[in-house]
Amino acid sequence: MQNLVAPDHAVTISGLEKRFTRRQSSEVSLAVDDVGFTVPRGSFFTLLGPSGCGKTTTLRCLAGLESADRGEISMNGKSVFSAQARRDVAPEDRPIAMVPQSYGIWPHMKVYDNAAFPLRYGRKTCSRAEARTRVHAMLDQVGLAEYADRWSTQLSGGQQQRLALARALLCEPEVLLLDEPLSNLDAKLRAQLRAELRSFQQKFGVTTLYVTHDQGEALAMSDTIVVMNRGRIEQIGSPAEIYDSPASRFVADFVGSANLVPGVVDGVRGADNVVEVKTSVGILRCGRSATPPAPPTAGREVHVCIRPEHVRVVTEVPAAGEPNRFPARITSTEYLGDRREVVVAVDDVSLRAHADAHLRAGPGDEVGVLLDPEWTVALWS
Amino acid sequence: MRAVRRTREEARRTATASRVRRLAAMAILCALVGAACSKPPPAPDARNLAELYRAAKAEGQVIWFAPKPEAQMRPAIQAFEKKYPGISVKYTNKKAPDLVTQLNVEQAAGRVSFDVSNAGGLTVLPSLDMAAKVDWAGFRVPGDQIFDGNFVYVWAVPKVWAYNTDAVPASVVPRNWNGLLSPRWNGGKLTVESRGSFMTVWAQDRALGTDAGLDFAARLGRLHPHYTDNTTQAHTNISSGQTPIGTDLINLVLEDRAKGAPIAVAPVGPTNANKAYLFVPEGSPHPAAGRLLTAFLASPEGQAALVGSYNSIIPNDTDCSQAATNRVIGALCDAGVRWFSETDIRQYQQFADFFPQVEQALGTDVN
Amino acid sequence: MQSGTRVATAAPPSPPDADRPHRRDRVRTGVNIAIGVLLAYLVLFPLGMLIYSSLKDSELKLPFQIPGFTLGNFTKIFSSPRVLEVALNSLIFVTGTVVVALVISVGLAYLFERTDLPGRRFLAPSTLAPMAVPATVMAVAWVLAANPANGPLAILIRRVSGLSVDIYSLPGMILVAGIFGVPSMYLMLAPTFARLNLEFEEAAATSGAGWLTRTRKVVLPLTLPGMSAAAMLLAVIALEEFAIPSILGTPDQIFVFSSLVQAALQPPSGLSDYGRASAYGVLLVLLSLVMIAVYRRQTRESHRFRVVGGKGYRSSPVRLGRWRYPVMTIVLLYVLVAIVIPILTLVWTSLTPYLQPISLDSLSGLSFANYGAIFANPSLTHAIVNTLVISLVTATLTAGLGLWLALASARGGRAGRALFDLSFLVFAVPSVVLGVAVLFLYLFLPIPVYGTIWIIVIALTTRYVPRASRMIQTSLLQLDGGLEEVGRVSGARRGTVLRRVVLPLAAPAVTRTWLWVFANALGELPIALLLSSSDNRTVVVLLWDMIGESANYPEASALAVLLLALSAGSVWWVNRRGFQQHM
Repeated sequence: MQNLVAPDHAVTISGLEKRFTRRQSSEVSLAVDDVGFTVPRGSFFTLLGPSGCGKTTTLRCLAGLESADRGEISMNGKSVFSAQARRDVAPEDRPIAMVPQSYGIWPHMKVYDNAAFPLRYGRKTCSRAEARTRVHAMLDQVGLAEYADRWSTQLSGGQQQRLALARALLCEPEVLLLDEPLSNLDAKLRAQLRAELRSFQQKFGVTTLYVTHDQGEALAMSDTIVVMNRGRIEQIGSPAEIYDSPASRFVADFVGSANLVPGVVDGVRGADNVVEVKTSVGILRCGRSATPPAPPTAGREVHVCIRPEHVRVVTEVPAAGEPNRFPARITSTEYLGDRREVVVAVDDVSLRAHADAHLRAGPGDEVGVLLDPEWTVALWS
Repeated sequence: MRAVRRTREEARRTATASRVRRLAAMAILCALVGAACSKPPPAPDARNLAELYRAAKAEGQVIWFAPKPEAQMRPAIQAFEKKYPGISVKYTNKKAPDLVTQLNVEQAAGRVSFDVSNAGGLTVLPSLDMAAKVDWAGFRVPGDQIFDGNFVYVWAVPKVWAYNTDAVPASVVPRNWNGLLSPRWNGGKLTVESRGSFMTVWAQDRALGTDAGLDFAARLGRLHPHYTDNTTQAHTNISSGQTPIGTDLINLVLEDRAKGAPIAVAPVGPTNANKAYLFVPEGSPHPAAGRLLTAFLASPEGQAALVGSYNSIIPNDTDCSQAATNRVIGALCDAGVRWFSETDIRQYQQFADFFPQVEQALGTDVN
Repeated sequence: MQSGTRVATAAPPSPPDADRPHRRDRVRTGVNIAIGVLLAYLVLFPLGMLIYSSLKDSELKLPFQIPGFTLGNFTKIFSSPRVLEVALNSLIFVTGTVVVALVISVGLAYLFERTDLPGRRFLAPSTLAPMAVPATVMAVAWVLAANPANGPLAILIRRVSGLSVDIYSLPGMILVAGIFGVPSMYLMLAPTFARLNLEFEEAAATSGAGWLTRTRKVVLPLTLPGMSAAAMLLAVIALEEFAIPSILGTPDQIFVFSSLVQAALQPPSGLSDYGRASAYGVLLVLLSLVMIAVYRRQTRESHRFRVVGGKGYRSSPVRLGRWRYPVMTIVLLYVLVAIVIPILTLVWTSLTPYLQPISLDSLSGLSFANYGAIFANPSLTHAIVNTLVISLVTATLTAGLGLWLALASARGGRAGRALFDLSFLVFAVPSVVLGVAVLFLYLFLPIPVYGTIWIIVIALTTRYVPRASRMIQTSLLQLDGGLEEVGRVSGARRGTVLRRVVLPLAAPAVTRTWLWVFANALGELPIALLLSSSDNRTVVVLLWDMIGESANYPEASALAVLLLALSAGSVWWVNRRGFQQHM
């Protein structure tokens, strides 16, 4: 069909829509609403969002486990789903592999048989001897070589996850789909496996789609992050873009922590598009902003986002008139060893800030805050 | 003759022996459970019907088990309750083998739960020792209806061959036993009860004889009849038109005919009119009422209430004098079927010996 | 009783650190012992009676009237000239029946529980409808519908395909018995399929395995315990079931195991030969021992079948895609042939004056006269009340004891498993032999149940407990032990865990088991008949009253339609209570 896909894209999705009908009320809701993106070959691509945002449904549509109601999906330039053309390639015929949320390790098989499944019954089968070598090599890679003859139910959670990954990699997929594979594990194991997962992905160079609700995971592992909310895409970008230049209040708030101050546009100055926003604190200069949906006019409602680490707390009360610099009063402080988390009140607006660990000020003290214009973001939505 | 006596004597001897053991077992059980192992009421000393009624009225009810649908017995029950007010009848339709087994177990336990039992065909011999000794003549039961002392003959079940009138034109209906062997009926056209009881008459009528009977059965078996486990099933096959002709019971034929089913008695004779007997079990809870009901059912009044559902006594052998009033006799006589009934307890042993041979000749023996 | 005690101590252990066990724990231990003893009593008595009788040469007498022991019954069985023929026929019949029922019910359970087959919410309960109709009546309905001489179904098939089908043959018996076994089997298998975590199948799909491979390699092996338990139950039922071989096998002299049992119960001597019948029962028990061993081997590593994970799993159905409508056509065809036609025949018969196959010519003769007759029967109200009380009490008691037994087998240590296996042995006792054992027992014991409905409740409970506990046990096998552990770790007491975690998860299986027992108790004939007296008559006993000696199938069918309505009503009611939703 209309395969206008650039060959360096492993996955292209456009206009994806998935409706759900509640049985009791027969009320239709959109689980996925006009979602589209392209995944470059070999990249680690993350769908991030709170639960119920449609990320897992999107992934399942990609896997073919769920049929979208509208839209197109193609992999490696080949269309695997098209609502218009009524094409829906079965999961087993898509060039994918998947690690489901609770791993889908078959309890009636031994570890070896679980891993060998794709080579025996999958898309690309191979001879017994070859399968043997490859499975053992893979189990070795994921550190399960000595467990090959055990029942898979005797593995720990982390081992099951690695087994699921080994099985998925043995599928030799073009696209590897991971559905919150770390969510079942404890924090320490999670950090360790996160690093392992990323290094495997880099070693095998396989295009990976990763679904998570954990922003830390997303930032640490991804090449590209898609932030989703209520079935829609909020922002697509590199981890740094997502974090430093959030496109919306939702993204700013969901990824990391953010101070959000409501206000109205006062004006846009200069070629570098510095937006000046009138807030209850005063005029805030925002050195960053996403491309606005329409040219911003004075009086348009916006929010200003500034991360706590970009709020500087100084003991000397600032001279009036300096941009983004305000007198404030400390409401509370919390000593964290490497820094001090301070909540300050500027008039009625309270802001969180990461201050120097040895800041000589306590609750009630008058201080000055400086919101670095370079890192202050105007959010259009 | 001697065989039968031996069997009966043996049975009585073992029965006595086992009664001793039974008593011992009961004593132990009673001691163990400390229960009120109540003794059954003693046999009534009534010598005529009036005294019997008085005793029965004191008992208040009578429990009757027989292998007949309740609906068929209802007119007789109503007639009894009308004639003897104050005694209610509780009737239960029980399969014949279940009936004799239950009575056997209940007597062993000393807790008989019913007052009137039934025996017929194969259950006659095992029932012999279970019946209480009753002077039926004293209760005005006609002598020819008293069988082996303690049994009372109340109805007959003549076995017949029946055919589906839609499937068999009158011209080809078999006229006699040999007519059944016609190749026309080859290959599942005859529905035949496989336990061999339809062959009873061959052991009864000297003109036929068991040897000829076994020869006949063997030839019948070669026609590959459509066998059934019992005559009731054979009947359903004929009346529903599945098989054109087969073994049947006259009351089933007459019942379905009355409802309009295309079924009629085939003129194949002679045949056996199987007698059914009532008796009062030894140790029954309402011995007087049991005797009263049995005597009533044997009386002309009881018979008049039973004859409507084709359950009544018929003469011991072919006698068409009551053909107009008794539809069972009428149907047999209309079809020209001669019949024989059992007149001697020895015959039952002969049948019991004959049936397995018939089964073997037919090829329907299971064991 | 030792077994009871051990079950109890294994089930709720007192906290090790507490010096004095809590009062509640003591009470619970007492209750467990009591239930264990009760079950052992229910199970051991008939079993003992069976073995005892089998060693008595009781051709003309009751087993306990004969001194000494003999192996005569067994030598007679094995020296019978038909023994090989019967063994071969039985093997073919039982295997065929189990295969037919397994294939159909696995297919239906899969389609109804795991796919988006249209109309499955309506079709699933309808497959259960024929459960309460006694086998005798159903077999006659089949004969009317499909006999080669004038059965409309056979005539239709002959006209359409030119094939002449003979229902009076081993394949015919297998087909009818197989279809007859489907409702029970479906009821056992449906939860197994419904609860199978979809992820297992999805993992196989995304690994590149096609539908056939993943069904063969993943879905079926994971449902193995459920399937083999169901197959085991049906194998014994098929061996024991008499009505179908009697009505469909006798015409062409196809004898199977149950024909032998029946012949022993109705010998030419007139008095049932319980010694011989018991000897057959002992053979069945031995056979079921073999099956238990096989089943135990299969499910030895029960962790392999823990397929209900602790995580919320979605049951998004497998999409049939373009197969949707072809598959639905096949299912509808099955429903038509296996359910609609026999039931229609039953209804037809209930409207006719005398037994006859469905035909347009006889339409004018139809009337509600039979219904008038049965409703005019003064015993009917009493019988319906008896039937309902017996079925409700038996179902509740059996489901409760079955659940206890299943829990004991899963978590009650060796004693629990022993009791569980022991109970399966009763399963193989032919129902009439079981009935006589119960009859005998309560004649002697000073428990005033003889002649009441309670003796039937006791006999039926004894008969159904083994089946019920199997049904529930298969679903417990699927539960991840972790679910329970989590509850324990979170500080809940064992009783609380049982109540809050295990019971809710086992609830659908228990409900289905209840339904199964209820429907089967409605239609159970041999025991109800044997133990019947004037005060405890049930609807089936009335039904038999019409067909036993008078072949009044039309009126009997009217009663069967009534039973069918009762069981369909209960299926509908249980469904409405939503037992399918929360699985």
